[in-house]
This record gives sequence, C-alpha cells and structure tokens, in this order.
Amino acid sequence: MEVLDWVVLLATLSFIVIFGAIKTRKQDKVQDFLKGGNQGKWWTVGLSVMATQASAITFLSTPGQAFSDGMGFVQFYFGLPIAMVIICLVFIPIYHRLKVYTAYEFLESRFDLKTRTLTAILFLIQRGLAAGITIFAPSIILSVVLGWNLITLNFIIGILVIIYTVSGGTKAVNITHKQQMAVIFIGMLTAFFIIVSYLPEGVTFGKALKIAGASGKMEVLDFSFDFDNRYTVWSGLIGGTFLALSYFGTDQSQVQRYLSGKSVRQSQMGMIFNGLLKVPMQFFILLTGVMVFVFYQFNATPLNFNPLVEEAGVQQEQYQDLQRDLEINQKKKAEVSLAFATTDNPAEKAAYKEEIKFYTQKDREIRAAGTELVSEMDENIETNDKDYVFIYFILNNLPRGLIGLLLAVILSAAMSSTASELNALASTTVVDLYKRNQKKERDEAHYMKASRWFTLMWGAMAILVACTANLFDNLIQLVNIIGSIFYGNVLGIFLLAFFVKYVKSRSVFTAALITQVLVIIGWWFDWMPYLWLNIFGCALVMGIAIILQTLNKNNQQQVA
Amino acid sequence: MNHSKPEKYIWKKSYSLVLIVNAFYILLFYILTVIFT
Repeated sequence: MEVLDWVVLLATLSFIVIFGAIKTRKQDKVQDFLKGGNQGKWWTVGLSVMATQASAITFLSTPGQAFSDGMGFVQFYFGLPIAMVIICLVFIPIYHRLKVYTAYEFLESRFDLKTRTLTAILFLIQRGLAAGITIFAPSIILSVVLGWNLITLNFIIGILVIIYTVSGGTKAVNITHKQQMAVIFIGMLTAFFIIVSYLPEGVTFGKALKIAGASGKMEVLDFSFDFDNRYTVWSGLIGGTFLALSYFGTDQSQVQRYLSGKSVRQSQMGMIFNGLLKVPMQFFILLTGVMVFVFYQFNATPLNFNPLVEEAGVQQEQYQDLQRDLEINQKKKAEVSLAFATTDNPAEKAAYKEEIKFYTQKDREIRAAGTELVSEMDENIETNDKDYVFIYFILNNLPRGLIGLLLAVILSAAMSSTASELNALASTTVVDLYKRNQKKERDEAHYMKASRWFTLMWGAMAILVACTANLFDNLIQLVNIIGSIFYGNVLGIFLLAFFVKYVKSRSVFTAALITQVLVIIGWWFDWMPYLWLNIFGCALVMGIAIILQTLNKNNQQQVA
Repeated sequence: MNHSKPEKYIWKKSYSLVLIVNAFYILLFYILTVIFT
C-alpha cells in the first residue's frame, strides 16, 4: 500500500461516515429514525436494498468463485426477480397499509402477540450473529493479506458503522448506501477495464472469453437435475425464489429498507429496480473473476492464493517442486492460450482448445497436490483460497490509488450490510420487544433514546462476535446453519399469514413450536444437508398449522 | 384491518417486464454458453 492508496481509502471512508452522520444528526422522531421519515424515493430504496445484500464477501468471494468454477454461480440469482414480483404484489401493499415498523408487527395484527414475539426473537438470534460475521469475514481476509491486526480491523469497521447508524438511523443508512454503491460501481468497473487492458496484445475481450470457454469457465447454464450439483437453472429458479422470498420478505434488515419508501409505488419500484439489475450485476462480478482467470493464463500465480498456506508450504521441499511444476505448466498454458487466441484456422483452434483443457486440468492437479500437502502439515489451516484470488490480484497488479479505491469498495460493502443489520436489530428490539411490553406509554424522546442505545448495543455485540469468531473453526457455517434452522419456519409463518386465511393464531403458534423442535432434531440427527432445512421448516410449519386448524374446526363443529 | 377477507392483488405491467427480462437473461446466458463452450 502506497501513500496515495491510503489517501484514497481514508478519504472515501471518512467522507461517507462524516457526511452520513452530519446530514442526518438532527432527528427527534422515532418514525424518522426507524423508517427514514418515509421519504425514500425508488432509487434510494433500490440502492439501499442492493447495498444491504452486497457484503464485502460478495466482492471478495464471487470473482474467486468464477476464477475457480466459472460463471455457473449466476444461476443462484434466477429466482430473485420472481421473489421481487411476489414481494411487490403481496408483501409491500400489506406492510404499507398497516403502517408497520417491522415485518413481525404484521404478524400480531394477523395472528397474535405470541407469534410476533417468537419470530422477532428468532430474527434477533440469527441476525445478531450474522452481523458479527459480516464484519469478521472481510477482516480475516484483509488481515491475512495486508498484515493488519484482525481485532483492530473489526473495531474500525464496527465503530465506523456505529457512528452514523446511532447518529442518523435509517436515514443515515439510506444516504450512505447511495455513496457506498457509487464507490462499489466505480471501483468494480475500473478494475474490470484495467484487467482487460492488461491482457496480452492480440487478446481482445472476445478472444479472452473464448480462452475462458476453452478452460470450461463459460458454462453459465446447467439444465441437469443433479441434486449434488449446487448451482443449476432449476435450483436457481426454485430454491433461489424460496431463499430470496425469505430474505427480502421476512428479514427486517431488508424489509426496513423498503418500508422507508415514500409510498407503496416508490417501494415497489425500488424492488423492481433490484429485480432488473441484480442478475446482470452478479454476472458482471463473476465476469470480472473470469477476466482475472484469463489474465492468469498469461501471468504467474502462487500455488495457493492464501499467503498463510504459501508460507507454510514453502518450508517443504515437495511444495517447492510443485511450485516449479506449476511455473512450467503456466508457461506452456500461456503459449497455447496465445496461439489459440491468434489463430483463425478452425483445425488449429480445435487442437489448441484440447491443449488448453489439458494444461488447465494439470494446473488443477498441481494446486490440489499443494493443498493436500499443506493440509497434512496443519489440519487447521484454510487451504480453500477462492476468497483470496481477487484481493491477491488487486494488491499485486493494480496501479497506485486504485488499490486504495478497491479496498474502499470492500470496506464500503462490509459497512453497508452491517449498517442495515444494526438498524434492523435495533428496530426489532425497540418496536417488537421493548415498546410492545412497556406497561405505560412513554414519549417520543424516550423511544428515540432507546433506539440509539439499542443500535449501539447491537453494534458492540457485532464487534464482540467478530472478535471471538476466530476462536471457532466453522463459525460462518454455524451461522448459516442457525439461519437455515430458523428461516424456513419464519417464512412458513409469513406465507400462512398472507395466503392461508383459514389458519388462525393458535394453530400457527403451536405449529411453529413443533416445527422448530423437529427442525432442530432433524439438524442434530443429520436428516438432510442443512440448506434443505429451509424448505423442510417452511413446508412443515404450513402443513402442521393447516392440520391443527382443520382438527380444531372439526372439534368445534362436533361440540356445537 | 380485516384479515379474513381475501386480499386484492393488483398486477402491474412492470412485474411482467421483470419476468420477461429475467427470461431474456436466461436466454442470453444460454447463447453465451453455446457460443463459448
């Protein structure tokens, strides 16, 4: 990192934080603090929803995912536009009509207080842990590659977010989201064009795509029905719709974004904006990863992009041999790739394509051997280096100033997601638990103060989780498991509330409790891969509630 | 609000647009897959 990078990084982040805090500091109404005064225009809502979903890991991991496995990950987002339409059609009009502050408030109006409190608590557990991981995940990667202190990084990200979320609430979150998205778009577009410009002479963008295709990176669609294959068109359309519906429809960190819209129309347009742009945006981030892959067809790479693995590996003679093998293989691959890109003869092209396939496979085998070697030496070391590919490229290849901008992109993304999470955690705590259980009505100033204190408390909690996350080997997976255990049940409750008017509160609450116990048992005894617990929980709560309601009705008819 | 009444859902042209554009993206990705693999 040069001085210019530090200037760009610090200037970008401080501007966002100071502007966000100063511009929104004078707030004395709870509605302003928790719903942004319902002033949000569609583009504010749209960008805020997008910024909340795009965490730092999106920009660190996604290009690495494409580098390693190609463009197939984009299929995961095919269900998102469908979910956006359902949310615009069903969720938004009802939330706006009821003038709710949180999604869970609606459940009291539809069912009862018990159901509202249960879902709010499930959200707080899951999102409270996730907020810590949103800070921890980029911190661990940046601390490894830049040599920065992990705890200090956790505190820096956490405190920067706390400053403006405590000061300005939802309004500050929305304002800073626009600037963060501007930094993200500018940074990613610049990085993309620079990568393409780094390709050797004669290798145009179109030819780069052909090289990527010859290496198997351009298989965007997979129409197979293989359950072991995580990303297919079908899992994207069905599972993706399901997941996006639970996330955007029932998770307060997203619901709060569109509740801040000026009107139903503005909120709906914000979601439509996401439905139209999310798929191309993810495609573009993946394409950046593919261009990094093509760049490394012509340039040397380490055996493993994680510096800790390299450090551990180079001490072994066998690892050094593998590094030499990789270097030789890369030189051959570069020659063949260039020949493939520059020839117009179809027969030669086909022959070079086969050679590229051969060297790509060999490259994979050499890397796998290196990984295995280091894993044997140290079982605890993270040998999966997908998350390190893009940051390695940034630090080793981008010009001065741009490294600072790209780091600002990553930290902005971390801050944008964390801010929405803290904002939503505070709102749910104040509205669904604290205010709802107050015996006497307090004034506006009291709830404003409480909202700020709860934001601060959740911020401190997120930093604490981030700082202790390193102690647990699989904490990120643990958070995903906890999410999968609760998400399905909560979505099922919401679907019953919206679509099955026949089911009443008692049946839903009992069904939710039974489902939660069964899902936990299912997870404990490993009945299915944990991601399927989402669908299992949702189907179970809906099925049990409908059966209980039918039984109740029959009993009542018999008594009558 | 009376929750026992069925809701009236109003379909808008923009929803059709989102679904059509999504189908167009899938078609475009199919063409890309065919061309480059």
